[in-house]
Amino acid sequence: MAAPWKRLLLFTATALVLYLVLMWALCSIRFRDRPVLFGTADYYHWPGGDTWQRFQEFNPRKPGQVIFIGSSHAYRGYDPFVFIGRGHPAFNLGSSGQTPMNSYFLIKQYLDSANCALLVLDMYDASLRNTGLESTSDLVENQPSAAAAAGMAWHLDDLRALNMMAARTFVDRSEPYYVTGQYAGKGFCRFADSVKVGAGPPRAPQQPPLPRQVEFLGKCIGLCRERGIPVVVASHYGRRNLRGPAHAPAARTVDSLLAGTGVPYLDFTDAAGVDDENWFADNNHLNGTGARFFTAQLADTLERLGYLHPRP
Amino acid sequence: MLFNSFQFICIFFPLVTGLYFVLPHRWRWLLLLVASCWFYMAFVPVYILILAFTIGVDYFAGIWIEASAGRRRKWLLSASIVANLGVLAFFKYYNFLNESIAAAVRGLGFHYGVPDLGIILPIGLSFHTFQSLSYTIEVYRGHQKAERHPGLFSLYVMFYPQLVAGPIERPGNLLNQINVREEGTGIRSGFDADRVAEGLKLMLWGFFKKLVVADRCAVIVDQVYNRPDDYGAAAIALATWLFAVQIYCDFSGYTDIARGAARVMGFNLMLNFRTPYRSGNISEFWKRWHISLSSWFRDYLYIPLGGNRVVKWRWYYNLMVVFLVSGLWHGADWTYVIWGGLHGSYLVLAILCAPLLARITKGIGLDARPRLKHALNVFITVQLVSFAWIFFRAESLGGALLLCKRLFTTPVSLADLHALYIALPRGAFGVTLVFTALFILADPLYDAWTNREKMVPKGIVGRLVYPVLLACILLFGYFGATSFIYFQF
Repeated sequence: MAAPWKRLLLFTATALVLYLVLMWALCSIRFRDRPVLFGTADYYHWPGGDTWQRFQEFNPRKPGQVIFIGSSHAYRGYDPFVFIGRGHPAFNLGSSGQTPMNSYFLIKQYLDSANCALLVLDMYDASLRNTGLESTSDLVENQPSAAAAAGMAWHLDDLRALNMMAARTFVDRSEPYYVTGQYAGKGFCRFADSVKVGAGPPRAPQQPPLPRQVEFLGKCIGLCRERGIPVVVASHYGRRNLRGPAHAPAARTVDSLLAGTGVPYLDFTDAAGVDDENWFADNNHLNGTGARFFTAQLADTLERLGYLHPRP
Repeated sequence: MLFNSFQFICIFFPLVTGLYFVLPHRWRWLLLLVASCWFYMAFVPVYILILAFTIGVDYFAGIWIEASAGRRRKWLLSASIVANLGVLAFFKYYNFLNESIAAAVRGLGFHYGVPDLGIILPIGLSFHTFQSLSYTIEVYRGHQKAERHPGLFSLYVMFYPQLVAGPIERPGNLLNQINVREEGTGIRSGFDADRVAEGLKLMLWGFFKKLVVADRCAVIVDQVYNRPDDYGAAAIALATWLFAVQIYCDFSGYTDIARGAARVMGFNLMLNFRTPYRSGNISEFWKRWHISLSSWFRDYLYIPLGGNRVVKWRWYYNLMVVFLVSGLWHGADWTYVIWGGLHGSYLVLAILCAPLLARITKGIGLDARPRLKHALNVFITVQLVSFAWIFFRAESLGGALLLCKRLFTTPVSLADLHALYIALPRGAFGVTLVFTALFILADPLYDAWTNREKMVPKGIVGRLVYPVLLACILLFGYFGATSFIYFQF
């Protein structure tokens, strides 16, 4: 009988090989023109959609861009064309369900003081309560950097991340399985519809933020400072249901995190004059019109604070 | 601490097991006791005091019972039973009793203002209460010597692998493996690579059952049982059958992990399940399902009541009492009482109808075809058990009755299953059905292998079984940190 450690090694190696063979088979065998792997669990993300389109378009070598980053609030609410219209090159790196943990690895991989003149980090309280599973699945499959994918997968602390990384290895990602019709370019998605009805009263505060996400938010700020990237944290307009007490705990968390760092928190959640019926695509997200109004107000504020130089 | 948590798999189990083999034998009990406290306190730390109370009462009760004779002995046993069941009644049944009284009083039009207790049920309370009780009863009966070492007795009640969901051990098995003098057995076992491998394999099989089968079935079951109004007969029947698989894999998976973890350290915990859904009748089902509980009720309730050595009506009464109490043991709700009552009724009806059934089977020639007869019996038993599970799983009595009504009054249609398929997360339907089917085929085979009834295949097939299980867990496991169903009892 072989020594125990040899048996353990043999067992582990056999299991690993079997795992890889099974994963390869599931990625290679197709059903309805898609690898059968995607039919085995809901956490696998097909290559494609606005994240795929965004990273195909993004050029990290382009200097001096204003970069927006964050969850769906970011890629649907911060219109880079408003900034471009004012003479500031801009791009939106937001993606669905993106948490500070995911943002950290995107900043680490793609941004430096040469390509990023200003980083606008969107802060939406749900992204602080999210484990990052959805976004990690999306970004592991749809952004090109293996290092960023591995970083997110490792820090997800979930065995499913192992499967995501294996799927990334075996699934052909050269062509998207689908594209997002609302993708307007520069990483931004413009939604034309509006809810057309008033919002309900503010929700009771949800669960507290996850300490890990708050920690990564701090790490994002620290990384930007380390790399000499000017950074601001922002929150876009909130519908009535997301204002006041619904937003206050997250705002307090961000305020206390940023205290003493010199990084401003531009919180527009409770801004006056917001049209709840016509500026929102749903309860949560701005539509194209809302995004245009908000981004213009954000640009005005940034110019006033000296983060952007107004066009002559 | 959950067995399927990162904390257990990557920290607790390797650390405790590693230290166990490094420490001199005489200190192992202390390590296991501290580890068991750590394991239990990971849930609600303060509830360790309840365990301490139970241990304290039964430790002294055991010693005093042994030293006493006559009526005093009986009084001491009664005191131990009252103290143990008192704790159980207070934490588990107070709210149930209070709500039942409130409903009855309000139904009569009176005001009732006694509030419920705002407490969480201590995890595994019913399990360790019964385990501790079995000790004092066995000492009383003279089958077990009282344990003088408080640490060893505490470890008997708290042994972490089976602390929160069994198997409900007897002192004759577990305590005698803890307080053992011979080298090479129980707590004095050395490192034996074959035995360790055997334990780890059992754990792996348990994880497979829990993560790949039970937790996947749960997604479909929850979808239907949480929205009974949305589904008809086909979906309810499917969800009920899947719940039968889910609860079996969940609970027996836990037991396998517990038995495997104990086996690694040299302990043999009792067998708790033996392919129960292959039973040809309800009586056989209870000899194969949750064996440690059914044998506990048999030895400490059914036989003391007179068992079947009484007049017929009394026998039926005994059966009904045992199963109603068993239902109540599972949960403080009328749904559990009905579940137990159904099983008791099945047994009584089986006895009453036995002559008639014998005539029918003989008349239609089924006796000449024993295999077909057995298959039919198994099929009927599974349907009866599954029907009873509706009451076990439903959120409330109203919910259970609604499910029964819809099961028998709505038409069976494929559209219903299609609606269920659409409502489920991607991958939940097909993969679950595939693994459930594979499990149903594999379980009897695995049972035969582990009980030495059949040889594990030699060569490459035998070597690949466990690596395949691990690969399947990684690829198809449901990693949502779900708890075990029986933890709530």
